[in-house]
Amino acid sequence: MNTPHELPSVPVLIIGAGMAGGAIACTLAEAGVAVTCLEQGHWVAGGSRPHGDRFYELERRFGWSTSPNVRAWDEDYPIGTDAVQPLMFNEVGGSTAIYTAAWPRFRPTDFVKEQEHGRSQDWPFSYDDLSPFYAENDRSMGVSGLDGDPAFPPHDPYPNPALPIGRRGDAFARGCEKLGWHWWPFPMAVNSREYRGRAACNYCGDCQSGCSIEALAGSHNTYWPRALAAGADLRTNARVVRIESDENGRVTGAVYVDGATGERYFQPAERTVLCANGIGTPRLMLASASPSHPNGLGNSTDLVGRNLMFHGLAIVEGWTEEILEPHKGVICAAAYSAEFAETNPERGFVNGFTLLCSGMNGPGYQANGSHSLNVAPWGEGHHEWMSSHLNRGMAILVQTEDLPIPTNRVTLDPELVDSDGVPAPFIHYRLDDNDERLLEYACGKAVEVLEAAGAVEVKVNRFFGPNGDYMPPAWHLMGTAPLGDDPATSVIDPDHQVWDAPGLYVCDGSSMPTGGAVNPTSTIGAMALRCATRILVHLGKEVPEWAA
Amino acid sequence: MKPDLLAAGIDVVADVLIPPVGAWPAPSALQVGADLVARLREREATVIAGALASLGAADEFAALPASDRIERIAALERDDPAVFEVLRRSVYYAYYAQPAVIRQLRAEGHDINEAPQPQGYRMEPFSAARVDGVDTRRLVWISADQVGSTLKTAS
Repeated sequence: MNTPHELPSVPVLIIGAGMAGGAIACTLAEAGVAVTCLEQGHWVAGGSRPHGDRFYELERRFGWSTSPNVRAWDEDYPIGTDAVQPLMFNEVGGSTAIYTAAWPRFRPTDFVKEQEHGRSQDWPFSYDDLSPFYAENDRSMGVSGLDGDPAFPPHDPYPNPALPIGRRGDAFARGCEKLGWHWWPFPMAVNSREYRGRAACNYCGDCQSGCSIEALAGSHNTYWPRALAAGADLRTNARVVRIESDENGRVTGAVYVDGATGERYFQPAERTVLCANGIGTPRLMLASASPSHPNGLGNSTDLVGRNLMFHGLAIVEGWTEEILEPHKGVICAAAYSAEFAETNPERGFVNGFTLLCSGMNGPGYQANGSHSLNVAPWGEGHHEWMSSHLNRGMAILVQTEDLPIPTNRVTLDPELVDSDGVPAPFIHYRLDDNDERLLEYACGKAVEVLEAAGAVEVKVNRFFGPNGDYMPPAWHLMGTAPLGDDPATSVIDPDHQVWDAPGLYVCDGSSMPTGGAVNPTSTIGAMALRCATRILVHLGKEVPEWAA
Repeated sequence: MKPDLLAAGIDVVADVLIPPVGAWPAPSALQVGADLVARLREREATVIAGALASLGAADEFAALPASDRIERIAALERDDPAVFEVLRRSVYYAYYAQPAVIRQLRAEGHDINEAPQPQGYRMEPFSAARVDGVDTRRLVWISADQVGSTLKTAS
């Protein structure tokens, strides 16, 4: 291994160009701070995605898989696991360059779960504290939604009108209304009209490979162009292999490999901000042990990597006798129900869930079982099955809050390494008994609404593996270096500074003490804007008007 | 396995998985096998080549009675489901990527494109009147300052 070349020091070094990294880089750069960001991946141009290719479904399954273990691009690192196939994209924009852009906020009670039931930690700030940052993030991302949702406190208007909900959304709405349940068009970071130079969505239905026309917002087409225009230095193909700390425990910068040359560099920094997602962040912290941090950076309390949350996930699909066209429009989600999002102790578990009316993609995907493994039979009967099922279904994404459990964790794989020799993360995850009951109950409610919507056939996918264990597609990576007021029970302080590693901030899904019952990226972005303003305060700079 | 043999082997099996019926063309007539050989990565192509090898040589397999071909594939599905899944997924994806198949789906009334872009689809704009059936006076969120009851009995 060659000795790293030492570079001139920078004021702020960000590791990872995803949702949080992009929002922080943009906010700091526009405030006049010199920011450098190291990103292991590249820019993925919209036109390079498979949306214009008639083999797009084959490509999405393998070469464009959301799982790095299947996709296996050069910039991906392997993930050891006995439990899940995490969604992760290691390019500029991070996973926002391949996610579905669902954009709900957390609820006020998501920030006070310790007060509510005592099995989770409270956040060190409230929904009201975060609300202005949610609003600014919504404007930056061009969120489309309908104001007035009775499932949330009133907030700033969405910058774009709600997206079409289509026939499937309409059927879902009818089902909810029949049952007397709440439903509402789901807020999405997808343009319902041209916004800030990005195109309006043309409802092609293939959101999971990213967006080839940039109608779907990620940090790569929102924050990063602004950050670069403001002078941020983004180095792509630059994989961080270690974060350095001195004898006093202070973080001094990061060592990275230039993927083009194989050369190693040490980038010193006055402040380092780690934004490598809920798996990549604890992995780097654990892999950066030093004499002053023998158990890994910030890990004197053995909390780094623990309390991993993914959400309890299931997908319940129903088929009706009418054509619902689930291949059109945003894949996740046309509409949703928050009827069961709050804890109700009479149900026999704490926490709640949301039901998201989602799409089913194209005919190849539907033939292959869509999201619920209801596979078209092969042989005689194949075409008859397709005739009675194709485009007549809809999917309900069941999204339940999972508790932070210390044994659900990211550790370093004892054998598996990436192409630069850094240990791969190893993921262990099992649902708590409370969360099993919650997920089972939620699946029952999904069946109920599908039947109310006219489904004549329903299929539940609980993501059980071959051994009967719950093995979900882990789309949301949270909780492994959480915020808190108490260094004994958290890894980072309310300003995102690692308690026992001065000079290091952490901001991404790992920072979240609880995961809510909704997609987390909106909250990660809002949290990142708040983190950036705290860094500005620490630097003695003025904060933007929207945060004042 | 040589690419032409792999393509031929896929076609023979694909015709059993998706047999031609009425206006629906046979996968082999659309050269689904050649498409997959051109498209698949080495890791998936290797799995499929292994699956085909377990079914026997392509010409031998093709010469079997239909019931025997079905039985051999059913045995593969039963004995090695992970391998069979790669084969079945690939064949289904490739079949429904064929322009002739999309034309047939359109003929049956589906508004569907060969690829998502560049056309996309037209959808009716959302009308705010659609939520008239939602009771917006019934709040389905709880204020943080109303939280405080102990719910530990539930867990």
